[in-house]
Amino acid sequence: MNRRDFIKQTALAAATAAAASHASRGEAASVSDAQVQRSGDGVSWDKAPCRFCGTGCHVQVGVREGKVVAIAGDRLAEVNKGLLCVKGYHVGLALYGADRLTTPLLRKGDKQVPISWDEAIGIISDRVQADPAGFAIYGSGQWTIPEGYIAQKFIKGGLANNQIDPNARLCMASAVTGFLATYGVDEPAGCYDDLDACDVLIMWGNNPAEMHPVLFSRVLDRRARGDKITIIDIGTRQTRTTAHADHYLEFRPNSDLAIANGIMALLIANGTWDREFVEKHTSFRADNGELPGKAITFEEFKAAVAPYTPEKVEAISGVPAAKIRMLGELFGSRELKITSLWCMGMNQHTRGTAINSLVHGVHLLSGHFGRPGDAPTSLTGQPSACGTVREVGTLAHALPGGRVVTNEAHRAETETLWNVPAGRMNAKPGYHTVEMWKRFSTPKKDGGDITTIWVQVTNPAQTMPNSHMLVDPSRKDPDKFLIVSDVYPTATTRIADLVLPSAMWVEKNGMFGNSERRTQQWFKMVDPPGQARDDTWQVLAVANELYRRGVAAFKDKDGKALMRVTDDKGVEVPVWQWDKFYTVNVDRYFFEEYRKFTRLKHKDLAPYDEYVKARGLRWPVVQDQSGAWRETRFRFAEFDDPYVEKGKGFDFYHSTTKDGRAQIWARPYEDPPEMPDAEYPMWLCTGRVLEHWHTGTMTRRIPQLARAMPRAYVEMNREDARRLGIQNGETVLVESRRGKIELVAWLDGRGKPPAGSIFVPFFDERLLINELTLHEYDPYSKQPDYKKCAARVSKRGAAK
Amino acid sequence: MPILGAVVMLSREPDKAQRVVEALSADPRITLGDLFSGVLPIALEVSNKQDERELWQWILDTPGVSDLGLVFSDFSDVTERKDEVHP
Repeated sequence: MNRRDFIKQTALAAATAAAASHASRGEAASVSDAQVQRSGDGVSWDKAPCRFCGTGCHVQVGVREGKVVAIAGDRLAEVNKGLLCVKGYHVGLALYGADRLTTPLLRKGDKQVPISWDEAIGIISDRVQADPAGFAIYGSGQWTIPEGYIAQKFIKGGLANNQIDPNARLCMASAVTGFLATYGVDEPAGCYDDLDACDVLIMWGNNPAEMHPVLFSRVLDRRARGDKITIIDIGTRQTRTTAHADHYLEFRPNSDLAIANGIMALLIANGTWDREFVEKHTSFRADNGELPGKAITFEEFKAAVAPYTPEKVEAISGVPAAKIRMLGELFGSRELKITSLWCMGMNQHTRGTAINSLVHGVHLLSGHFGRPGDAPTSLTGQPSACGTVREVGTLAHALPGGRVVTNEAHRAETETLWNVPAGRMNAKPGYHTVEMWKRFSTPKKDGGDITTIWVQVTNPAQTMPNSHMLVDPSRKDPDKFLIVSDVYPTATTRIADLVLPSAMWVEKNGMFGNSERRTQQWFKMVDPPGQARDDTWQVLAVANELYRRGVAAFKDKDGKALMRVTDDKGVEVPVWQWDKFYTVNVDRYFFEEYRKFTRLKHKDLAPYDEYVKARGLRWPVVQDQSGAWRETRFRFAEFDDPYVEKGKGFDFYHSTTKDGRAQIWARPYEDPPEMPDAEYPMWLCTGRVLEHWHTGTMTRRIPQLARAMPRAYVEMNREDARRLGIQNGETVLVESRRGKIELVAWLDGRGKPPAGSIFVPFFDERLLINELTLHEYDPYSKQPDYKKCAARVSKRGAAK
Repeated sequence: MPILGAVVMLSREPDKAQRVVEALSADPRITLGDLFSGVLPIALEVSNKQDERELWQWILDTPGVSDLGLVFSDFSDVTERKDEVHP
């Protein structure tokens, strides 16, 4: 058999295994592993979660002669059951773009010139010592769990200035505040299993057919087998998801709040709310300017939602009253199981916390909660937004395991676990993302007290809203210093003072936590190119250099190095020396340290070695009587959550009211901060496309994906185009009050925005749409709104 | 020369499903596996990525195909890297 025949046979065997698994609805497949010939031909295989989105698909990675040469869906993975999306099956190629960063680079004048790692570590240490209070780390939901944990410890246990925040602030912070306001603790109660059990799937401003295609295929797969599932797309533009929907409800931007209120008003008016569930397990809440809000009675809640009649909701949202009634009837039908999904559409919203808590409220009020298939579930865009940001707590106000810096007991526990002197930790939260960058772009004499930002695994020059205001001024200020760790040149590395080449994905050990509380682990499989090194190593090396220089903040209370690593015998290993870094498993060491933080909020994690064996485990992971580690699929429900006492049915054990109850919120509709007007008459919405992941740093270097979607564009409605005299494919000028950009117009393309609105994807670094977006943010989550601002479009050369 | 493994979700209507199987089996680039309750495993061998995209779309557009999922991709002959390239 020649090599191509062998590969073809392997491909068919993998497909056969996946087909058998799907045909048996995910039960044990009839095809044995022996039939999947995943060995021979010099290719070795190992598991890893996909590098891209928050779905958390597992892939099998084929490595030959030190290179990744093949990718297969992992049929043993519950998330994807062997399937991959177009990005996933190209993920191996993400390692091999021609322009990987391979040596540290220091800006000298207009050029970035190669320097040694020792010099780079020294420069960063100098910046820390020169202004420890003004040194910040800006990280990511793409950090692995150990990477985020180490950066967190560096800033909060070392510098104690709390100046760390992640790009996840831009994508899911409102989901966090929605969960906290409703349940008192973050992250979804349900999981992807709900997709296999629901009768009705409602997408709230969500396009999973393109953004989470493997998850959406689970639903389409059920349909193909004859299951009746009603798919409802509530959106501001038609997408590929709409094509599969039974009902498309097009709403005016921001008016999703009116729709949610309208459903609750109907549940009460029709008497179809779940009185027993509500009376036993919920309380009512209203805004008072603080996240926990104030208590209100049912009668007050009823009065707050009563004005949202179907007709009033139609007037606000544009969704026909009959469709609002349909939603009310669906939620009023107890025999149905309803799953709601959302992602950026609800989170990147100046009322993000409000709409998140309203959708939870719709489910709680109707009792569509806590049965498989009955769940309000937020999705994430990054592979470890949950694991690294929300659980490790790499946010300016947070500490690991759901703790917060403002809580004295939480600080004391953290000081004990990190063995730092009592009282070292700072009770004042650091700056959230927009504020951090605003202060970095403000001269020090004018209050710009952030002087150095170390960016890891993200690309803020492309993703920050209103970047002319939040990013550009810092680059003209000699007092400000930007350090960027990344794998490829990006819009951010190009403006950086110091660039550090990083290892990516299977070039290092790692752990991610996906959207359904699933913690995943993988091992390093290939070496990074040139001098690229792990982000973990980079932070440890700086911490050690500061310790070596005698900086007290990097000593523990016994005078030892704050970030020391020991082997199994307790002997310190000099992991800051690159050639010693992989002589111990640094991920395992820090994960075991971090794991001790996870029990307070019942987010218990298993030992590292359990994740080595599994395709991820969903927390809380607890030991059963036999000593085996058991994951939890459905939180707060007695039938599955080990922390709910028998006989209680449900227990929201981190309730903000400390009585085991979840909160149903009254949150009125309000107009957004910027709306179309005579000068800027159109809504501008931004987002992603199937082929590219976020800023395209990886996917634009995969030729197949780059060719399939080569450049950004502006989606327009044909009516608007006709009125403005614009042809399909014509270059047009798009302007907002903050910037302007030329883009090719696409009419009747993949997405179809309604008249009066346009859509622009943000993946293309040559066409930075975030120069136009609005930096206004939700008052609780501090998450900016990328989904709506006022803009105008004109033919090139015809601008006002 | 990419080689892919995929699963084709077939229509529940037997006639339509049968026509899909016939259409796919007539294409020399496609190798069919055994059918599992409406899910058909296939291997695709194509000459280049353009060919791959067109074949993929053709399968998706074939009446009786309700979905198509990719499960395996070999790109050992398309991985190239120029080392030490700086911005």
